Amino acid sequence: MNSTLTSEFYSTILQHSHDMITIIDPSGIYKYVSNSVELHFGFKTTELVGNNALHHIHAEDLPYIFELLENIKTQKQIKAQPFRYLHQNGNWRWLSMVLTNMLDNPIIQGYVTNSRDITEEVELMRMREKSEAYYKALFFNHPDLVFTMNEIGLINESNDSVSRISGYFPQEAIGKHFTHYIAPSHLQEAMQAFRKVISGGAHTFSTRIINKNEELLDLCVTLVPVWLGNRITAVHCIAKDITQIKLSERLLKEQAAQLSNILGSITEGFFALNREWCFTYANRTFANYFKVPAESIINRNIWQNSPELVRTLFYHKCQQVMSTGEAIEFEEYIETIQATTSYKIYPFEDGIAVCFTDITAKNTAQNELKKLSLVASKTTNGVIITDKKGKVEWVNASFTKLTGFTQEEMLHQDPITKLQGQETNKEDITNLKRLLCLAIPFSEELLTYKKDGGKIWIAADITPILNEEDKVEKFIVIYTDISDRKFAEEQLLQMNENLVMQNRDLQQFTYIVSHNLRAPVANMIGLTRILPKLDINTPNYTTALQSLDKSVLRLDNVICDLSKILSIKNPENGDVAETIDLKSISEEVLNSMQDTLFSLQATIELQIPNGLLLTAKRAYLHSVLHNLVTNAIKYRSTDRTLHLRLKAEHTPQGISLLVQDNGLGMDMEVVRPHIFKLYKRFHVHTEGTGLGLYLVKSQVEAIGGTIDVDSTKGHGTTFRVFFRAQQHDRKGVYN
Amino acid sequence: MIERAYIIDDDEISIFLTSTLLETAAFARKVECYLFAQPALEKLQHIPETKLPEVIFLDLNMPGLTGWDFLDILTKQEDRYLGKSNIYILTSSVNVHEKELALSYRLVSGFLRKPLDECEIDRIKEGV
Repeated sequence: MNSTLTSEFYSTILQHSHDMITIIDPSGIYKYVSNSVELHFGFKTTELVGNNALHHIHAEDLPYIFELLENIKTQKQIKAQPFRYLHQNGNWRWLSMVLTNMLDNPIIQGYVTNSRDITEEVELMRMREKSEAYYKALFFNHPDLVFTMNEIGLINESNDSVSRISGYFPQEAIGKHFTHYIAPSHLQEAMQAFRKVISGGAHTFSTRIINKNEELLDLCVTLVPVWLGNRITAVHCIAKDITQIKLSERLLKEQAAQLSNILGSITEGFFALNREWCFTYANRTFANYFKVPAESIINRNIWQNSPELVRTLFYHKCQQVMSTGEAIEFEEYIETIQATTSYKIYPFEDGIAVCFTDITAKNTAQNELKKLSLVASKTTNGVIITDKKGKVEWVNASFTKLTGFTQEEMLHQDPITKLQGQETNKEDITNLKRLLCLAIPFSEELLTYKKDGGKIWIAADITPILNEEDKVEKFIVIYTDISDRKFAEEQLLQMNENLVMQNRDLQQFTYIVSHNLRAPVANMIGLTRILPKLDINTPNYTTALQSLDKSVLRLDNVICDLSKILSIKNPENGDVAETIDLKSISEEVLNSMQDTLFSLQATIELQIPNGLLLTAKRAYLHSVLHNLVTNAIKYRSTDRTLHLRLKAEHTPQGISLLVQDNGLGMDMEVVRPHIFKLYKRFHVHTEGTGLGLYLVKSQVEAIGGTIDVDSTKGHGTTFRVFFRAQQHDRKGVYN
Repeated sequence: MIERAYIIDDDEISIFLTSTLLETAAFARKVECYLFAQPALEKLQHIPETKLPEVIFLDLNMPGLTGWDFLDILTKQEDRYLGKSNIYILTSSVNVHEKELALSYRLVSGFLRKPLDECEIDRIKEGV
């Protein structure tokens, strides 16, 4: 082997070595340069030897090299850091070098440098460093949250933004599973996303996490798998905090929805047109009115969609608003839809907005109302309109003319209360109120009072106006003055009553004729027939003659009675009614019979207060009292002295007068039907014409009273006369 | 000549007239006069059937018991009187309805208007 180790052998190895070997003295002067230098740096060995190696060193590296040369003085060998060396072609090359101190070696007597061109490696390393820095910058300084997870989802590393945004510091986050931070609502989705990235697909999705302050944050997350070899070893995650964006988005959506709701809920039709006359919005009412889905017309040009509109006022007004920017209101009848529509057109930034209402029905109703109100206000009947509670809302002019009450005086009043008066029949009012509750149309006749207190008979036609739920909303009352008719009716009734009475009188009259007139006449006929046959000297003749005389007298009496009756029945007879004090007239009557009463030792009880006044014909009242007292005397009991009681008192209904005796009395069962009839007598042992009580009754009735009797056989009789409360002149009612 | 006749009438003059006429016409052996119906009725109800009057002249319009009441009461014992006592209504009334009503009683044999005259007395005599 030794034979091969020649200097030539070394020289050849050196020449072709990858390394370059030189020997320099301590000042850096090349003493020897291997041939491989030429191969790597383009210099001939001769060009270098004797020159200073430091001339080839990059200025930036020189200090280091000087330091190196200093250090090698005391060390055997130093491995130098890479430094730059000038290539023959002017490029810098990175060298790695081992410097060996061989000053002691007598052959070498210098520093041996063993260098290698490592430019490729250095550049590669620098590139790597650069990309590392880039990565770090991207990772740690990224404004978004960036973190890395291992293949099972445990967090490996996180940047500052993670701490800043989530509140978790790396030491808190690292080692935790990512699901720890996900909002429960988004957990499923997040896990799915993680599975997806693990199966190799980078992707982006939205999720929501809970930060350290337990607030929800919306994140937009991008997951990127990290491949090492052919397997995924980690997952990069870049998450952008989009909470504010989401919030704004939601707010925007809500506002848009709200706006759409508002516009949609407007019961007026509403649509918007942009400056190109295309629909940008149409609400529900619009869609319903024109029976087209709102979406179908969006972005369509209104004039192309409905060319016939170009001829309308609407078209011109739209143009006007668009050009002037001023809002407009107007109404128009549009032929094609056969409707009158009211429009409001407003300008806005992007075009115009149109509000419209179909007022055809309203206009029709208004016209109808105008006509109706014309009828109601101009009719000669009174008209009242009340609310559902029956309070007046309106009266027409005729009502005011009829009653004297003006609209202002009647407003919010109850017309029933306002118009009724003392003589209004309470039953009529009750009935009226009952009918009002039934909510059906009806008519009622009622005596009402004018403002000046005058009475007026009216016929009220009352019609309830019902709403859609069949509930009363108003009442309409047509108020007709029927006083004339009522007066006529009343007169007719009065006439009828008179006729009945006259008829009764006629019957009585027939009876008188048939019996009381006929009886004495029959006797007279009989007597005159037998008189000639009787011997003038017999007592029979005398009796017959006396009987004839009596019969003639009786006939005369009956005729007188008839005359009296006729005078009472005939209202046209002389005396006029006057105001009479009941007590004084009673005393007057008793005085006139004082002698009789005295002789009978009768006791009189007069219980009549002072000042009890009656309006009547004096003669009648006198006759009534006289007859009743006479009756008491005539039918007194022989078993006891006559006690007579006259009592009168004022009651709310009128004046009651009582004439009571302790006489024979009558069996009321028997006498009741006949007692006040003409020529009825009930006592068999006394003389009586049978006229008295008939006259009494007739006269009481003529005064306007009633008479009744109560009696017990063997105890006495009580007559009760009742005079109704004195009324005003009946005809006054109708004045 | 019949045995017995009653006159029931509240009018004294009428009784005088009727009884005088009956007397003149020799109508009955005995004529009993009553100013009220009640005593006449009582008597009729208490005497034996043989003593019943063959003829009763009855006025209708009287105070107390009227001629109608009298008829109604007798009708209740119709058999006692039928064929024995013939009742003749003697009234001053000219009322047609009264005549019809009176003749509807079986006990009533005739309806006479006052004053009674001799021809009618003869007719009654024949009828009895």
